Amino acid sequence: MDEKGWKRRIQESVEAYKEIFDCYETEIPEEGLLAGFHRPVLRSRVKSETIRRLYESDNMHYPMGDAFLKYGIGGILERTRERQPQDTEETAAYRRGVYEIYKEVQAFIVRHAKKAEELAKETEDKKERMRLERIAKSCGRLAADAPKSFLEALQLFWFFYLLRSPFGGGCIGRLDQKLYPWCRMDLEKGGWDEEEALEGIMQFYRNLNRMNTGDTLRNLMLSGRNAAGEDETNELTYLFLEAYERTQDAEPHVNVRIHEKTPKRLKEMCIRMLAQGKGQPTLYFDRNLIPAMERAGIPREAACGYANDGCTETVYDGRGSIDFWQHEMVKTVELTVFNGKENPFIYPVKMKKSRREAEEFEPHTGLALGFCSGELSQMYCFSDFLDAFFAQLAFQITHWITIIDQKIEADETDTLTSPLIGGTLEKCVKTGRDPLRGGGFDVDNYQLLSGTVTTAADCLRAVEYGVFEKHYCTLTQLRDAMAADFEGYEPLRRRLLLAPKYGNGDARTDELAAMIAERFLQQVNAYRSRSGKRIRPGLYNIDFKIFANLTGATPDGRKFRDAIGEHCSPTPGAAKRGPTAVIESASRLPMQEGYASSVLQSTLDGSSFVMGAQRETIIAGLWEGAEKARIPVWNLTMYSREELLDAQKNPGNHQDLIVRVWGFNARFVELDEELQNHIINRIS
Amino acid sequence: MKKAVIMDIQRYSIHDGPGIRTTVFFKGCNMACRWCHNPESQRAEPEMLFYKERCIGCMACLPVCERGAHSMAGKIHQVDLSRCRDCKKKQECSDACPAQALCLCGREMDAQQVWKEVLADRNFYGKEGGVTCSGGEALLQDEFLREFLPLCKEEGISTCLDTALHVDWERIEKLLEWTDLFLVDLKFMNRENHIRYTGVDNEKTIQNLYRLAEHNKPVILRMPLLARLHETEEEVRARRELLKRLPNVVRTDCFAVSNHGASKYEALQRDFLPFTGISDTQAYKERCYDTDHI
Repeated sequence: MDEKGWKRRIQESVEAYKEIFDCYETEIPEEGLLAGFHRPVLRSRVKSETIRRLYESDNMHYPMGDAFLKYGIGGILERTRERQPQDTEETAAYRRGVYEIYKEVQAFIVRHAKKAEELAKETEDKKERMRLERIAKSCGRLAADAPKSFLEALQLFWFFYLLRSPFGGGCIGRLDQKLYPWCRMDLEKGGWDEEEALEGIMQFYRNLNRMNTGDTLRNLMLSGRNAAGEDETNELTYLFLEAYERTQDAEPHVNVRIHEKTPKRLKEMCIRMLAQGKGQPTLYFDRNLIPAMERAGIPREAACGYANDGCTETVYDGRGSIDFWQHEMVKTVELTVFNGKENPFIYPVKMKKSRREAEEFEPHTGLALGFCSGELSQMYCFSDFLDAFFAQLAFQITHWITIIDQKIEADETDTLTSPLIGGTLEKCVKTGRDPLRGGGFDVDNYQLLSGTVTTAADCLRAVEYGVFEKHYCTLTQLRDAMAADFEGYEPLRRRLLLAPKYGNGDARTDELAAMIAERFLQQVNAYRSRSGKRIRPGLYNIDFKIFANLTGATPDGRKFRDAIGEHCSPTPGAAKRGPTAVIESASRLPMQEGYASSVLQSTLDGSSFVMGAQRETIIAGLWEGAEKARIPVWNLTMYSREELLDAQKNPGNHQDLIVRVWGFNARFVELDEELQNHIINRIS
Repeated sequence: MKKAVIMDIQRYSIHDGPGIRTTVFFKGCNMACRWCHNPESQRAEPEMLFYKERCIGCMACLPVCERGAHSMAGKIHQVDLSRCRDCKKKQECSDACPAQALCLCGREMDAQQVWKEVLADRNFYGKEGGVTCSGGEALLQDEFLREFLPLCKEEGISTCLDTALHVDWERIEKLLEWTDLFLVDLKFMNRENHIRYTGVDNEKTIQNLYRLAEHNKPVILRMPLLARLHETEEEVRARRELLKRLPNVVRTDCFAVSNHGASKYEALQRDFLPFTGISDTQAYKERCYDTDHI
């Protein structure tokens, strides 16, 4: 490592945080006890270099550690102020970086204490003065010491959450576990005030929604089992859920870990919330996740501490960060048909990622073009085509692995992790090491994700069914039809649309989906870095909408820009036999082995609960079936198609309509139209 | 093994009894309700439907047809379904259509085949859900049910019959031990109206309802309701009296007759009569249970 360069980069990081912290407001709320709030910082107010430095050292996709709760700001400053005897130049510089940033953190908290104190002096109202004095006192203490009560712990966490991101996003993690020691402290002292705690959490939620909503990475993970197999549900688990039940907005994104010993009360609460139809909470089934993590060499303790990142990807709370890449499985079918080239029909498209207000961009494929997997005219049976597809797939996965391998090597030598984050990890505070190199990120978490195996399976099955079983066309005719985006080939397209599709419990299509997934998993799992690190596979995609806009017509009858199925869910509109058939199809996928993120999203027609249909009984039945089908992560939403269509026409009347997007929930009316249509077509 | 003509097997049925159910729709009915939502369920044998708005004019069906059922009116494809009735190539014809404009409704299945499909959702039934045999009139295929229902019960799957009970009691009696719940459609208490609107009288239905009560078999009573005709005091009073004598009725579902089936009548090339359903089903239910009036 270049020592000078290292010191310079740390100094730049410190400067970047100083610049950002200076943009933050000092807000003492007009009611409630939780101090601090900032609106997303305007990009024009900060140097673009600063933003880049910040995101390069912290992608905000994983939870922070909790050293600040344990040691307090003073404790961290004390441990980082001086160079330690065992320090190298590298660790000494990093330690110093942590110290300098935490001095700024301290100043930020002091600003709040002072402001609250000033406001308290100004007010005539006695009650109001008491409230402000309480905030001042609490902030004053937190500027130096560790929290002494639940509300103080929540306050300190909130300050860090605010400080971490100028734009208000970031993963939350297992907050019911992290804050529980202070809840217990209050309980033991007899100082536990449940109403006040609930109000504090609700204020936390309201602040999040006030900042912004959507793809904010704000995942809160609750409950779970520990390494001894015991249930970790606690009073806070229920409070965090109750606060959501009362606020009912888009943020935060709530997740609950379910296991054999999950209390009945917690399950019932989840069902009650799911019956609201907002897609909250997402359920994580420990028994369908933890064993695969352990098989992949993750120590039980860390595996049992998993949370989820900005979306559904698993992260090891307090023990690791996350980096992920996404493979384009359906595009791989296209490259197979066109022997390494893209479908000539496609043209560059301007699109928005998710938000209506967002800027347009032009997506490009991340696959490597030019690998000739075979001439269609030389393929005489379906297995010839399948072999070509698998050859193309193997080539593309190797391409991804090469990219990821380079990142792993870089992280092992000189990537800089944000010292703000480093300071949240006990190990880093003790050793001065960058978390990536012995300072706390003990579980490496490089993920290669590929959902859309479902639409890819539809494509393969359509080739098998349409070309080799029913002889509707030859392979080359199919290619011509795809190159014409099916213009002039409508009868053929209709036949291909009628070919069996994933999501209907059709054994052969599901088998093909499983075969694709298994090939992907095998190749990813076989990788080891020079130091023995792995790449963690998941059957998941965030960018299914991007893929739809860069994948031309496909053998399943889909046209260029038509939707592609997300994660392990069917292609929108393809599932005709209802949600249980979708779960049956998903049960045939090796979802558990995709422990990095394998989610099934079930969408019900919310208007169907009439004529005696009991919402909660039905949700319980689907839940039981999904768990038995070994689904690791399950999200259930309910919308009425009519309501969504009306919301497109009259957004003003549907501001509170919350829908599931990919790994997050958002207000439907804030999404761009393409995504809205995708969501409408999910209803099966 | 007995075979039945099955119209459809619908997974994740949530309106045909409690919980999540698989509903097996049997083809063939001995009533002909004029508002029937599923007119394709009435005839016992498999039959063709033609949804002309789905047709893409590819004429792939032409080479299959030996009956001269197809013609063109200008650019519009026309099919004379009356020529298809006893044709042996219905399946081939339906398979030839890429647009599902020509569809064959009904296929013969034996109890094992149906059973296998029902098992697919086993994990979702829980204690309350299960299988519902509906129709058409499922009880017309009682011999099949005598084989099929025990398969379900032996696997611990709850069973339900969705029926109008317009059959001889003996056909019901032999299925009693294999049936956990009856969903009974009550069309009219007024005999004349019953005959006018369903083609048969209501005596068997009512007598069989009393017998189910004697056997203490749980019943969910379902009332499809038309505006005016069902709203007369005489009709409501008769329903109130009936309900008083049926302690086994665990729930009553009132719903408005709708015109959802219109496109199916058209696809069957049958005349469709629009009906106006009742507007306030909850109020109607309250009237039926209003003991102050008795």
